[in-house]
Amino acid sequence: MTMLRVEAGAFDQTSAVEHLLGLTTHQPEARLRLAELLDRDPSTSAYLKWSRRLPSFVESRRVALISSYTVETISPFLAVEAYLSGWRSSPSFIQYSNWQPALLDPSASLDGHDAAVLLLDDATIVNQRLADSAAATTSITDLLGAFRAKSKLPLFIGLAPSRPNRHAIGLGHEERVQTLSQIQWFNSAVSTFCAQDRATRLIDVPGALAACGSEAWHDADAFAATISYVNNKGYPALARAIARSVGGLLVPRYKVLVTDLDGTLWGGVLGEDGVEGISAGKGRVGKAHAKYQGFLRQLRASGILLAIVSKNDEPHVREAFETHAEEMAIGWEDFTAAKVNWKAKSENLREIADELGLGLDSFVFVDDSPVECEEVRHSLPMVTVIPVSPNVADLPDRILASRAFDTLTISREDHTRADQYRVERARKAVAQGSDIEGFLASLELKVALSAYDNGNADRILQLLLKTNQFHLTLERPSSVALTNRLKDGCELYAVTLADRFGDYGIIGAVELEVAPPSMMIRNLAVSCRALGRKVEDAIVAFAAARAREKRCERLVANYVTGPRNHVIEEALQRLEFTTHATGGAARVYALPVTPASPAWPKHVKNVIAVRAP
Amino acid sequence: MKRVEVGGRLREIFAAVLDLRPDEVIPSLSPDSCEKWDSLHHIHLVNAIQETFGISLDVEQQVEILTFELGEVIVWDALKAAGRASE
Repeated sequence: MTMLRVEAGAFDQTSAVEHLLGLTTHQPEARLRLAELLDRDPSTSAYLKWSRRLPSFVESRRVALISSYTVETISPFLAVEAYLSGWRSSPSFIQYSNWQPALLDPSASLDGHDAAVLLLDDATIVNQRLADSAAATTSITDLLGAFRAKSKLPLFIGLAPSRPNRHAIGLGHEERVQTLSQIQWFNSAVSTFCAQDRATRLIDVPGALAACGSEAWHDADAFAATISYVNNKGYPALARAIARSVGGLLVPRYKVLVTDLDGTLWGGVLGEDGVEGISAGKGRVGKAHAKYQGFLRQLRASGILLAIVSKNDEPHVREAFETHAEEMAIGWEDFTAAKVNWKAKSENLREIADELGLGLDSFVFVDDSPVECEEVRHSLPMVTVIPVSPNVADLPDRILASRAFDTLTISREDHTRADQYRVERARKAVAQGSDIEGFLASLELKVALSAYDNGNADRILQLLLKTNQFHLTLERPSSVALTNRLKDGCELYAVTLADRFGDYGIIGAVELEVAPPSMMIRNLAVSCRALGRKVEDAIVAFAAARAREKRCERLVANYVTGPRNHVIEEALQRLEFTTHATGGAARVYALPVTPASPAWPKHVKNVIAVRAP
Repeated sequence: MKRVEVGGRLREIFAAVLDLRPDEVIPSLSPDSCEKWDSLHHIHLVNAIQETFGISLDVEQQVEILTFELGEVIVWDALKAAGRASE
């Protein structure tokens, strides 16, 4: 822990602020407070100062910055912005004169990175003018194609912003308009490439820089002297755009938003103003709250679970939802969990986390009461608390600014997640009064295992990156590492689950490697949505079937202990795996494979569409 | 802006950019005596100076900031040229 430097006659203000912000702790709100501080002072000195004081416990990611202009001075800005997005930046720079060779021969400079960011400028178009702009466009798509043929590294491309100084673009009005449209054409060719290549993503650099003011981010003299296309006024926005895009891919997204009702979801206090007296969607106040309600529905559609924690009586709250159903942008049924009672809010949050089987560190809590916010902060420091004040109108923007819900892609599973949790309630109702085996049999589970392909690759990676509980090794591999292992002979499968209530989608991933006489379970992850179904029994039975085909005598699983993945060790022990060896945080479990065991679990109705690679 | 104020704010900038205590920023501080003062940090210094004082330094002025003392002179001249220096 960093100690506050105390010397007679000296006061280290930065260290003091560092402690007040909570930078020395895991408290997620330290990020929000630092972001607010930098909003007020986005100067080079401030970014430099904070870049040296960032906590080391945040996971580091190696990102290569390939740029057609000098960008090395972005380092302190990127370090801080990456921290605000939940990752630690450890960048390497490909000098601007080498950006094309780096794409043509990625193994030389890009091996060992988690992602690469390519930043383009408009020089190729502006310098070559109209005659060669078609050639420039063809050349960039050829370059990207050549890169992708040789490398699977996730690539983020920052589109070229048009420099603001008019004379550089062209003095004649027509010439200028044509050049600008050529730059758009160039960008659109890059966008088209990205749309066809799932590992390449766009960063809206022109949009990010425009937010700094149309002319503020570029300095013609600096560009002439140092080829710095973006100046220090533009760096915070550019670094933020990079950090949020890379973070969207590499950092697990928060999963639950818990909202208060009175003064938060609607205006007024239900207990005092009555059902008719609250402002739920009409009038100036009501409309501001309706905007927040609409934003919550949007979050729900993107895979975030919504929950209510409110100090009220539940029948009264349900009546309010029914009475204002037409004017409200959200309904009672949109919430996956609700705790309407008079208990401490932290206690209710704990109960919701238990019910959903999710860690509190993936929760965001929104409340208008400073007292309730403080109670949750104090009791549950791992929860990110966002107060409604100063006003509800900009609450959606402040929630987005927390970056808790940043993501690059929204999968089919994300779209249906909230509904699936609702179905889960129906399952639990069936479970009540029935023994576990009877309950599982009544679900009529269907499990399918299919080999890694383009259709399931994103979801497999998402599961390995985001699963914390039922995760054998807690390894967070890059897509490159995965494809390299496949090349080396590993087998990777997506596990799909369905039951009589509905389809869960892809809920698991398992990686197998033949190492005679053993079949290694290199990794195994199952979403918490599917826990308690004993799906792992089917996965192990499948691994055993592969072991028999490959004439292996046993299954071997390398379990690595983590803060919350003990459930997987318990499952291995239940399935009669025994400890084979131990070392540090790792324990090697083994299970003999005979013609008869392990057998397919009886509670799984059928295992379908097994496709080996 | 008064000369003494310029010196104080410049000292804060040098300390922040080069990660030094204000009392370590002495007049003769230079790239030779300060390990952190490399070309990258020189650009950070120039950017921070321009931002803080609201001035624009030309390339010649930028490369002439070879010590803290010279930096003070160059910033003072730029403020004078902008009519913002009060003796």
